[in-house]
Amino acid sequence: MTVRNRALLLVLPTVIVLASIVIFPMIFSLSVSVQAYDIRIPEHPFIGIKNWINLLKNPDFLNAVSVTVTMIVTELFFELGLGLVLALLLLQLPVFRGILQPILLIPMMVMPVVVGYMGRLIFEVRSGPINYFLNLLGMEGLEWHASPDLALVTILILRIWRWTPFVMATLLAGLLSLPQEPYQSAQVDGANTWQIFTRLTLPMLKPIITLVVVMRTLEVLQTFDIMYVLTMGGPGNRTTTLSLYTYLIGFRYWDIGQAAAAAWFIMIPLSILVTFFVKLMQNEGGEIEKAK
Amino acid sequence: MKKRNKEIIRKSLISLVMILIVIGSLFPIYWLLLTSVQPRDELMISPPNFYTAQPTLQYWQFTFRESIPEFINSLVVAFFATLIAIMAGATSGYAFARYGIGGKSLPFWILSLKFFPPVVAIVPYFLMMRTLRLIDTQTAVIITHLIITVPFAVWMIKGFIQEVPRELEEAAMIDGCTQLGVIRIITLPLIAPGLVVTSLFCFIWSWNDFMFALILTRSKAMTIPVAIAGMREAHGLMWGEVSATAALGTIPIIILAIFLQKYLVRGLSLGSIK
Repeated sequence: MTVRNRALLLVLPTVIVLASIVIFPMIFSLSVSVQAYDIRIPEHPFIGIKNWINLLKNPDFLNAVSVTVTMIVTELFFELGLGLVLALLLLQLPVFRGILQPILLIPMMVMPVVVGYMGRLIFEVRSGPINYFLNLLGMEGLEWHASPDLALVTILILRIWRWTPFVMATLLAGLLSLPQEPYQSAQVDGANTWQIFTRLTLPMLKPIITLVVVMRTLEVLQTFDIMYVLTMGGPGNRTTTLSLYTYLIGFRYWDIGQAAAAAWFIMIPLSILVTFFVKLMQNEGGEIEKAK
Repeated sequence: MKKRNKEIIRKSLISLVMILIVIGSLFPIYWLLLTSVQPRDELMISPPNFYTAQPTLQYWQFTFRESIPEFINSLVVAFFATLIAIMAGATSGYAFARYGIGGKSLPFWILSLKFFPPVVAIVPYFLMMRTLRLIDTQTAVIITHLIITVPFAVWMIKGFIQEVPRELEEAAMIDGCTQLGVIRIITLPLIAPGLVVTSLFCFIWSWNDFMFALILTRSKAMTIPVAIAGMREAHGLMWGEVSATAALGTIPIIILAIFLQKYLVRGLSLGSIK
């Protein structure tokens, strides 16, 4: 057996498995999206792109798009901001860092369903600790996830809690990998801390910040679990993301064709981002070495 | 001397801030654990109790009595989704790292599948599993979880194998080792930690998945996350019981993550940071 054949034999099972659980379902999903597919009826007439058009005319769908975009923008802003501050603080504590970082990463390991349930406990109107603290500060308790205005805020707080540690850890690793020479020469030139940060650290950190932004956006595009447990998209449709919307029309209202079409409105922007992500990884040679 | 004092004060201040942040970020987890051991007359009262003088294990006993099938389902699903991923990852990871098969594009295509959104897959998977009569079976959940675990495992293991110096393998070959012998004696022991790390991550991803298990299971094959989400609906006032189940589903994962410490960032960033 030639080397090439042996290599092919090693890769083939994986490729077959992945192709059958990815490519075939995708084609299937496309075909379902052009049918009036109700699971309770055996006939699924072809209706062309009507499912797709109907979605674009549906205010609930457009609302889901806007909720998702709001979440992406808000989460990126806060997670990057807080994550960068935490990373810079940890950078100052070379000894302590080894203990702090793993503890700070714990929220990331909590399963999303449980994060939603925790939200239910701590944001509970009457007996939750958050409202208790607000009362201590002389403020009225809030309705949080039950209130139309604050439901999305509540979910964002929980998600920022869970994901900021990821941003922090990634940026910290990036900061630790930066070369030291530019800093020494900047100090010689008499640059102040702020100048060093904006003109040296941030530009050098740019590749890793881009990577974090893309990875976070990809994750937010798919977000589902916390809303399912905490608000089921409500009150009204205030917290219905694209993923949740797709699930609801498909598996609550059994309009499978429409759900398949809605899923493609996630798939298309996501594919563009993933392509960009892969380009980034290729440019970095797939890795950013941490300096010892 | 003065400068050193200033430095010490600055570092202590930063440490203090970080400790406060740690306390704040662990607070929700503490609250979950507290809720799972508070006696019923202390639960959900206003103002809330921040500790309990008489912890009770009654909710944990309930969980161990009632949630064992779901717990076992989660274990079985995560175990097989991980095992298959490691086998796929080790074989194709080796071929990618050592033979460069598929060029650059095939490994990167597999990497990109790490972001394949479950919500796109749920409609076709549901219809397929329904046709195959696999709804509410562990098999259905395991198959769908492969999309979560396999791309990750292939990509990570490829990275770990690339770190083993080729010269080591070549030297062993010259000493008369067969190809398989080289893999067994040289490569495998060197990438063993990497395999463990990758397995733990795959296990965590599969364990925490909610969406696939939600649409593919009804009762028999229900996993822990689905059970927790369902308890909320079925037992509106059973805060203690739900909290104990939620804690039971979360604590093993946190413990696994502690073992991962050194590799946590590498795994979470898909190997882009070592």
